Amino acid sequence: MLRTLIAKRFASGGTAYHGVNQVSLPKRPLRKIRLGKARPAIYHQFEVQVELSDGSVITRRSQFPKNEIRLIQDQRNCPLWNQSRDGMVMTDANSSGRVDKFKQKYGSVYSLQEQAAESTGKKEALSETQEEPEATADDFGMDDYLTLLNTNAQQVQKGGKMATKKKDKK
Amino acid sequence: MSVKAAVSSISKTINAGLVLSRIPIITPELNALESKYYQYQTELERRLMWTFPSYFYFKKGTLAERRFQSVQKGVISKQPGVWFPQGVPDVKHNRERSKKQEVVLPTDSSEGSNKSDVSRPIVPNSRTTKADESNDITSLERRLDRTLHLLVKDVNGKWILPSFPVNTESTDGKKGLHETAETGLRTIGGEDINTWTVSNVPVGVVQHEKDLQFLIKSHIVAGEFKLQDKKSVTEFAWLTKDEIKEKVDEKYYNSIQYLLAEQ
Amino acid sequence: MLVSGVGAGRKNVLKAVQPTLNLVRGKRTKSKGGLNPQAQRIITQLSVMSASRKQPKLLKLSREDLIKHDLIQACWSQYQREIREKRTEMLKLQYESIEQAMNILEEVDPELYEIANAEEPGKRIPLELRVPTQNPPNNVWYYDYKKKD
Repeated sequence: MLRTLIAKRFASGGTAYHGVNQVSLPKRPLRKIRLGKARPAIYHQFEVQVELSDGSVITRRSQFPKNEIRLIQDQRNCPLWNQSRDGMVMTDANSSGRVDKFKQKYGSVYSLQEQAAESTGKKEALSETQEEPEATADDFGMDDYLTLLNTNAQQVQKGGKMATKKKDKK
Repeated sequence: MSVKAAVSSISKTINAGLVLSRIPIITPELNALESKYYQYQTELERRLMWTFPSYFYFKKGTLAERRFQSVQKGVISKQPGVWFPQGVPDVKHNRERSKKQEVVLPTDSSEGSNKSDVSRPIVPNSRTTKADESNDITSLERRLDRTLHLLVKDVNGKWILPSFPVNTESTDGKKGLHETAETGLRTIGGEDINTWTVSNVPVGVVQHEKDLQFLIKSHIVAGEFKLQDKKSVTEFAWLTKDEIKEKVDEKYYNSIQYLLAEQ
Repeated sequence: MLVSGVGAGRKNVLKAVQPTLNLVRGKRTKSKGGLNPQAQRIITQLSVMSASRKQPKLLKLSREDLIKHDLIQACWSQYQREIREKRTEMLKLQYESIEQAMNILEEVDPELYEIANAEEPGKRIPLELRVPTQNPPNNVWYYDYKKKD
């Protein structure tokens, strides 16, 4: 959007465009940069400590506001880069993250294939698996949303009692 | 200094020597000049860096933005009728323009620092190891910032680069110098060692009265040099260039010193 | 007929008495440089993002500071030159050493010379020879290497 704006701004004439949000900016003379007065773009950079998967640390600079990065999958634990080492296993980059924890806990609820396999494999456990989704749905309460939202978030309860669903008395 | 010397007579025995090195694992230590200069340049660059565009990285109204803003130190802005001893502040985008900008990043220290947690804070390992403290010269884990070279003590009690006689009498296909050196290393140091020979071409020759020692350059990649028997070799050591200078003969050192890595 | 005529007359009177004042609250009376608000908004956005607002002040070195800076730079370039010269000297010695070794080898044993001089196609630096890092890994060295065929 910005590019189109700028293009519009410097386009000659300024009368041809008839869009929905038609804006014509007044032409301004470009500021001349005299010889030796140009300044390079030195973006703000942070010092980042990068820990490779084997524990070695390198320091580098980055524009992203983060001062520590931990690599889970890199050349230090890839079998291709470690031909003389035995027992090197390809690790999944998403293991032991928040998403993976979530999947471990609730993966069975959301993946239909797994459930189907489970039900065909075990006929006995059919009744149990039917009960399972209800139980897990109850477990996934407010706290789980908070953990997903933020690490330090705390639940704020205003007022005395939370509204609860009441059954009809009949 | 020139290495060009008169070519010796032909009737000398040929030995294949090995310059086996362990490349540095960590970056070299900076000397005083380097560290001062880098510090000066970093400070200059920090002063000239543009203002950190926090509005680009933190969306307005998000938790991340609030956490970021809460740890920032504020700037002193210009006020009428106030005398500022360090110059009148010129604040733009929440940054004092005549100074470097110090951006503090929020840290999640509340999370437990157990080993398996991915978001635990980074604690770098020490640059000196146990082998450095105990000065164990047979360890591969000493002097991580320098190149180490394998030196052995021969039966005469002299420290030399490992050297193996070349079988020149065999008629059916001679083994090259590099092969002799590699197999020789495995006979004195065990099979479980992974080395990478740089080239078949010898990097140098040391001329003694009775024999010629052609040197093959090689790097250790994995495994360990374990002394097999103490018949031909009594001791071994992994040494830096400076330490080699103290151990070996001066004449021998001068003939090999340009083959050893400075750092 | 008459009644209707009177009614029409009153309407005309009312119209004449009430002034046609049409005030809208909050409307800007003074326009900023004759720009419409949409254009003004875009100009504001552009100026916020413009580089000149993010740039720090120019460094103004005094004469003494400038001399100091030049001295530091000169010192550094000299230091770099010394390192470079030392390195090229070493490389030169190494090259001469290889040349001498090969000359002697050719004279002493032509067969070994042939083997040493043979081409080595496809030779590469192993990936396990790593670039040094700032701090060592948890396991500094891999000792459990077993010989492979």
